Amino acid sequence: MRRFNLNFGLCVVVALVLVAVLAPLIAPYSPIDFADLNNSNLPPGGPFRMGTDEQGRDIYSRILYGARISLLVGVVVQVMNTFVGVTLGLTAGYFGGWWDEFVQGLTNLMLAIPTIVFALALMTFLGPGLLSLLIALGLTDWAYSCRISRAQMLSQKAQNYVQAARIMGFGRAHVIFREILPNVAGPLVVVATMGVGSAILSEASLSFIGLGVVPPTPSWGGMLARAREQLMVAPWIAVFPGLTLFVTVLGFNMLGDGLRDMLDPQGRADR
Amino acid sequence: MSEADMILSVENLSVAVGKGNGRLAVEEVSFDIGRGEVFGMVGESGCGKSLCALSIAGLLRAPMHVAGGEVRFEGRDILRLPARDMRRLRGGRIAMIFQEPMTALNPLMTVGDQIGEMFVLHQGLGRAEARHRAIVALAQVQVPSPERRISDYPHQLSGGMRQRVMIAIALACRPALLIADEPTTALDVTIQAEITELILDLCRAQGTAVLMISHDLGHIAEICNRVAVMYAGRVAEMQSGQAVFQGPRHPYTRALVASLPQPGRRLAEGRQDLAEIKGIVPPLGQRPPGCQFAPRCARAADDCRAAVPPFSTIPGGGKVGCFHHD
Repeated sequence: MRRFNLNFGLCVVVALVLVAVLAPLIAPYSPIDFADLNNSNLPPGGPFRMGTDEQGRDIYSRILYGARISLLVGVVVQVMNTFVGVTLGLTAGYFGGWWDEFVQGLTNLMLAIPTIVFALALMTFLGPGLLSLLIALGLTDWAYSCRISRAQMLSQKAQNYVQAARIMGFGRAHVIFREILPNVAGPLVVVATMGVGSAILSEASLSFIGLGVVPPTPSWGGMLARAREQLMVAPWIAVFPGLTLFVTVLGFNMLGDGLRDMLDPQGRADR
Repeated sequence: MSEADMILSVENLSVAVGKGNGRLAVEEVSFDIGRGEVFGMVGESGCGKSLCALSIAGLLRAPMHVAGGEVRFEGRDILRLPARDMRRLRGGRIAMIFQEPMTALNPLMTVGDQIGEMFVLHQGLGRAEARHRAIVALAQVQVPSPERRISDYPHQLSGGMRQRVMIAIALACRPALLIADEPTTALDVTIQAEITELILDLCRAQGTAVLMISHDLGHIAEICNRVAVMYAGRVAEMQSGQAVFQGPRHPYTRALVASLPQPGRRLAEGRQDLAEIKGIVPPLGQRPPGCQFAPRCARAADDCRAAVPPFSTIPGGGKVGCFHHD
């Protein structure tokens, strides 16, 4: 089961990356420019594998291109979140005192307000668009990595090698980021991987309510939003982006799960 | 000993736990270590030996803090040194070896990188040169085939080997003082003597002074020039290594020496219980006002319970903190 999680996740992620990179080569039509109202709402089959939407655009091509947005948002947002969360968490755990109290309070605040609401509030300031989407999501979902890196730091701080590094004369930054960080990287990688899935989902949600990627740029959330009106007439417009989104998020979560099992020495002994 | 020969002098060092001076874990400890001297510190668990060592290295962590006194290292008051200067001293001039070689090495770095880091940090050497020096350092601590071992990770080494690596790291920059906090306690009995010998040999060769911390009185009396016997946060007695074992003055030291099992005694005198010291070490916060040892001491009188006995000088060097010493 553990191998299955890891392998499935890995396959999905690798496929997503390939699709995103090679979209112009694989896609049979242009995702934006190819629009023929004579072909609108065509069911899957024939020249249009997944059918066409209300403007006569090829859904298959748009999904392929949409992978670029999803992957970009997922990875960039998660890198930002991990950076913010790990930096705050590690320093809070290491230094303790008022800094720790402050970071803890901030983390609790972030956890108390749903990420999407927070991001929404930020987006209304920044306006819609890809850049503000990245900023809004990248600064709001770091609470878990912060919590985990703080907890990891607390357990590592008591280890002798940390004190040994200090007595050798290394500065704080070196001790925190060069000595301790590599030793806590395992769980953080797991959290970050799972976070990519939720970041993709958040992007889709924001695009769905029209605050994310601006049309006509293809994004899965945006495609779902417009498919709503055609749901009874042409359900495939909603089904395919929805399925893709589902499989992608599942893939990242399973990759994270698999990585966790792989990195957990106790789990390894059991199986 | 003259001031110039002194590498470290600790004066009235007190370490408190928690805020203010409420609970003193170490009280007015004074001693000094000469250049190249091997100075021993013995005492039971919790008597403050390790706290002394950590204060000297400037590594006390909250809630522990220095409540008073002065630590002069090579003429500088290091308790009031800026953090940057203190970092330069640590590892460069003052080195430390810990009790647990199993965990004192970073599990994710090769042995060579961990030794080499010292040369990069304190001597500004390049990577290649540092690696070369690391091999030499490993050879010095008698690790076989150092060229190959250099790429090993700590988990690939035995406890003894790891402690050798720790010694190599500690002595890499030829420090003036090595603090060895029970360096052999966690090791196999068969290699304890080897490791002690190694530390002493290397330090002698480099002129490094050693502050050896242990709870094995016999062991420490054997290898140290001078020994401080600690009890409940205070120095009870300080004498030369030989004298502390053969002519202990403080009742606590006497009782300690008497409680050691002696080979051959059972043959000569038949089966007997080992001598013990009645009672327990007073826990922190419940220490008596006068002499700490008074509640367990056969010679304790009213003056012992009233005031902390001052140190009296012992003929032939040394001092003892007791009103009724021999």
